Amino acid sequence: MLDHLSAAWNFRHGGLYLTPSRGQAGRYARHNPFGSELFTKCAYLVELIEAAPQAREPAFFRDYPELLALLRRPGTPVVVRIGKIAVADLLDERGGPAEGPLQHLPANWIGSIGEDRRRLDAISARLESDDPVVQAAAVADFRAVQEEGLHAETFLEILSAQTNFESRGVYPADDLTFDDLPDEPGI
Amino acid sequence: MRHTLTTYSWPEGQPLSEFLPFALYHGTSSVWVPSIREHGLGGRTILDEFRGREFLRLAFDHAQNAGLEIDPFAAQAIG
Repeated sequence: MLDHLSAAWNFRHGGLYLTPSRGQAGRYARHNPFGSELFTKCAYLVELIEAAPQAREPAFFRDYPELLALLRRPGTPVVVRIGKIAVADLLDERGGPAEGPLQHLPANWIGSIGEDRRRLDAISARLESDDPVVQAAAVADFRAVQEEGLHAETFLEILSAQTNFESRGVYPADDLTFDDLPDEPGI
Repeated sequence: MRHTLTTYSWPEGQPLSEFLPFALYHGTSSVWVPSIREHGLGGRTILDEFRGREFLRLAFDHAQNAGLEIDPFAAQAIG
């Protein structure tokens, strides 16, 4: 499993890491069944130690009963979406202020987010229609938008390749959306 | 038939410099969802609570002293 982990996850450990890319968050979740890269490494070493010939459980294992219990019960991948984020709470992945990478966002890309949103909101409203003809037309429009590719989606993938963020904020559950991922790879 | 669309939201009227104009995502495990619901995302420092770094250091040293072949990726966390 470790072979699949890329250098992209070479973050400082311990913070709350956030990415503009849902796909990237999903890949991280799939590769870290305990929710943290550091726990993944702990689980790897426990497995390595226990699989060694004539292995006896190291004495220090007894000092970490909660951690070992966690490492023996891997979970399933979940992506959490945070909709409202104060820039002041964010650091870039090197620990500097997030304003740096954000200042380089081209204005037209920022504009395209609003444009995409307006288009999708308009289609979404028509999808709610009770009229099957209106609804079918909205489905066709949505498929056309998908094929064309949203400006903002492209922009966010580019941004996520450039940087991810660490947050010092706490986000209450009411502001979050939880998305359980299926077992198969790719989202 | 209902459809779900991806949309971006930010507080109306807020300058872009204060709030991000797009959502961010966090990849995690189902193990932590009840805790996140209770304490909020970022509300607990689980690596500290479970003494993860300390354990990793001990486990790494143990594996190394036992002459086990350690994946270089796992070794990255120790430096």
